[in-house]
Amino acid sequence: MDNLARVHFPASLPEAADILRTRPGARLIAGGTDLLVKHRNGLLPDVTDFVDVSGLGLHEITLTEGQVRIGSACTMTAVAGHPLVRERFPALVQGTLQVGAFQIRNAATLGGNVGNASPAGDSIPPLLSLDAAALLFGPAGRRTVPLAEFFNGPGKTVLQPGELIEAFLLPDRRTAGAFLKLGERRAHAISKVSLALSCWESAHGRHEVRIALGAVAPTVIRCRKAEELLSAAPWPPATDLVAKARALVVETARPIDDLRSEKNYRRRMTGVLFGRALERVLV
Amino acid sequence: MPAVGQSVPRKDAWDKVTGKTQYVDDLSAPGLLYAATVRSPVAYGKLHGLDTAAAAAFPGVVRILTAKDIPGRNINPLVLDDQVFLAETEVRYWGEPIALVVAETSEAAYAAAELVKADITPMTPVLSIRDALKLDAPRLYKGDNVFSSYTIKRGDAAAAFAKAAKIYEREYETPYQEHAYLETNGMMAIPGAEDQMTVYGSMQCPFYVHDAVSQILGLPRNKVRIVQTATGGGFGGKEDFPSVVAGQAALAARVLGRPVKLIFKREEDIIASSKRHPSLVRMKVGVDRDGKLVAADITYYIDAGAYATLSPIVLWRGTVHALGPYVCDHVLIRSYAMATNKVPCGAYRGFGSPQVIFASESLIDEIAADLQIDPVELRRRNGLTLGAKTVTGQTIDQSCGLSETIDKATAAAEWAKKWKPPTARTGKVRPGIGISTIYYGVGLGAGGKHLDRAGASMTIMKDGTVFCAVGNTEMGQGARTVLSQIAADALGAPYEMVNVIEADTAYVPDSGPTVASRTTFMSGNALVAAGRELKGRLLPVIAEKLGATSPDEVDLVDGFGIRKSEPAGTKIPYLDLVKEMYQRRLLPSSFGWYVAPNTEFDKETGQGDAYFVYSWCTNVAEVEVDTETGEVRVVRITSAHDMGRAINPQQVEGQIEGGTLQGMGYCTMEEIRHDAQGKLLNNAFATYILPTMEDVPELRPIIVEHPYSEGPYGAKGFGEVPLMGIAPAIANAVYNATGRRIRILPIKPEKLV
Repeated sequence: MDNLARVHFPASLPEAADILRTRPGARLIAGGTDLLVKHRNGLLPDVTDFVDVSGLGLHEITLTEGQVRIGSACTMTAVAGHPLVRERFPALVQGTLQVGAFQIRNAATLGGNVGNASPAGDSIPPLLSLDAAALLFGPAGRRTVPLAEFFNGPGKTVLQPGELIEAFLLPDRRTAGAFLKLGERRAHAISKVSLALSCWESAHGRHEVRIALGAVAPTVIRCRKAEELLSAAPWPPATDLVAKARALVVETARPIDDLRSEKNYRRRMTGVLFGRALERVLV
Repeated sequence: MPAVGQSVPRKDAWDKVTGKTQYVDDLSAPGLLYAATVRSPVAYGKLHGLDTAAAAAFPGVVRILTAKDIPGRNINPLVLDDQVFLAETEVRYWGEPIALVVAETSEAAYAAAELVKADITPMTPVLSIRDALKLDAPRLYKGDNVFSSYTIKRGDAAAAFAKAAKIYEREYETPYQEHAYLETNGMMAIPGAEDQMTVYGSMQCPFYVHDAVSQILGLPRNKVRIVQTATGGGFGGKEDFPSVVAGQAALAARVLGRPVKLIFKREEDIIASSKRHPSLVRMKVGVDRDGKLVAADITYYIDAGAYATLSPIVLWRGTVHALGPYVCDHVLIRSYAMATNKVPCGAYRGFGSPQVIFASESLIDEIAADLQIDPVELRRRNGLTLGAKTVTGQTIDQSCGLSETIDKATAAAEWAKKWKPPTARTGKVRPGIGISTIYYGVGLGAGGKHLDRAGASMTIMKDGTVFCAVGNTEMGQGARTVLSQIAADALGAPYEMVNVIEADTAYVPDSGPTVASRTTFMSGNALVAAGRELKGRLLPVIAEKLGATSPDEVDLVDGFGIRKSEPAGTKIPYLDLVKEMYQRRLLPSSFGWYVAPNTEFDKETGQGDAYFVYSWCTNVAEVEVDTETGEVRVVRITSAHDMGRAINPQQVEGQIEGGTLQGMGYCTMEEIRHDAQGKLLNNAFATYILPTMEDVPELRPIIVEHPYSEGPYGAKGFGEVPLMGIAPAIANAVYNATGRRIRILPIKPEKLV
């Protein structure tokens, strides 16, 4: 009943994991841009404790062993502005820059956006399009989960009790890419539909392509058939192939009607966004 | 230099931007308690009783109050006197207040409110205008679900249609609009000795609140005092609803004998407070071969919600404005405020007119397209000019800037260069340009004339500073600044020495509500009267000092006493005159009273002088429409306004900018949604979508001044006008870009592709 919660400031990952494990009502908090609003509105009745991650050293973006490692507590602004990201992952730059508005991007973190597991989270499609994996820390140690296998449904992930996201690991390569979204206004807009497309040269005349859709299924989803079609064909793809891929993207979407938009509109717009993302990449 | 006409900085600007301003939730009092509202979980039903045991046992809870605890009358006094402060035996909308939980902390009050269980037998609710009109619809008030209706009948519309070259019939619909003021509703009531009750809070209309608190407590008026605190926006949303909040807070304070604060959370404010009425408008207009309007038959329905509140007056304004600023001799307009089981709608900037303006200005555009006439040209052919008569038969006898606003807005927007028919637009992203021309009846008009008076007191303090109290409120619109400018010039004192304070019912008699763009005009005129009276006492002193034979030969202007015949001659500083005033023991105070010019209308035909004067406006909207996604980007809006005289041009421009954005939100994104049982679904800023800074187009405000002889320094009123015609201007621009005519607002991308 009492909506006051205890806030913990652990100094190490094991300490944080321990609090999470021993207190079932504990939730991680970083930027708090989503959690605090929910908490204030009484939507987190079971939450008794917040575990602040700011003291865990998760703010770094580094390049090691063929991977760009992005600490889960990096803000959207930090991710979008980092040279390692800017030089390699345009889809992620565009995605993180379309989350919320300036003030939110200065506080909200990549780990929070992913951990929140909204199908409309704007950083998620770019990460999926870049073959990102989540490095998890828990009572049993560390493990790595491909982000494409991380989500079980809206707000649901494979995280086990006591487990948290330590970092995101992205293969070190230069990619071309785009993230496009349609929202109800130009800022502070939750996506009605979003699409990330990333690609990179895999062999001479061939590009490996990844396409991820947001807000058109219970989780962010990949368009694997369209990806395979485009990845197997000569690059740049021929017009008829693009049309086929577009049809496959539209088929992948499983949208619903809700307050923000309509099922049919969302489905059709996945095709429009795919066409536009591909155009941008090919320029 | 006179203060009027100068863009002096706002009196309240510095404190507001530095965070010093105290709003009601910043205030406290010893022994303060906090109230939270228990709300109906159904839209319509019989209320048998409440189970309050669990809530009463909650730690910190002091008392749970229901309608039975009301010592006075459980009716918020307004037009039809139907809205209860707390439900008694039935609930009429989802979220209707049923009980108040009062506790030592706000958290405890809200938590305990969740524990109150209402015993309700639900009934089938009526949830839309169309449902309310059905012959077999539940009768919410025994009658026909019509709270009020008006008819305007001029000439013989039926006969004129028979002779018309072409007739156009269209139906338009508009949604709810939420005010979304920055500060939510809130009140703090403090009981005093000898049964006194003082209520502080956020409001537009202290005298409505005064009536309400006096009524719910059953206290005489001189025991009740209402003090307006700094008010973070109103836009009409704080016209009638704060009376309910104040009445409830005062009830708790009275019963418990302790100060009580009732502050709404945003989510609660959206559920509980008034909104712009949704509407259904059926337009039928006949034209001759030149596109001149020869006949009109308009039926206008508004969704009033569960109680009539302000709907009868809102409906009157909409009825008068239904055809727009055009000449037409044969008109039949019928309007109806429909009862439904939703939150009562009320005032919102434009007050029943933006709905009909969307319909009529869209139809004018449809006629122009069909006749292949430039929409600007069609408006020029039909627009009201000096000497012409409105739909109510009122002759426009002065201050008519309509054609000048058309000239200036279209010139600035380069209409002639940019306009071409939709068939000539190509490409994925298409530009479009659209226009609306509107008029606005200033003040309460014939529908509310018994309230149309205002008072002002003025005192010159010993140091020469001037203290003014008025009965209209500052709610963020700049009233205190503009009124200080008027007061300074009326008295002849330097502007810097003049201040107008926030409204307090202890200082000024009932001056009517702060609505209908009437504050500059009404309180301004009251201050002019007060200032002139006070100045009249100083003129003999000036005459004596300057050796003039009569006070008529001298004047007090801009802080100096002068001889009228030699304005550059000897000058007596204002402060010297103040010293003389106090030495001679002259009365340093005055009181101004102003009664609005007469208005009237015939109940049967609606004919008469509906409003004492009109403001005029032309908007030109430019858009880009993405034909693949349906997204509309509003690129630029040029608005030319005739408000008589711009007392403070910067404030005028600010009003134009703010109103334009609200109009843009109304047109392109805002709507309230309910589920099939009448529960309001989007009561948060995450789901009620408003424009943000990123959506702001280029705004070009243009001031046109056709002074009004009765106005303070020629000013009319215009605060509402900037919002009123924006939706059709954008809708017409979208049509111009795409050839698609959207007749149901908002224009969401989903409707365009």
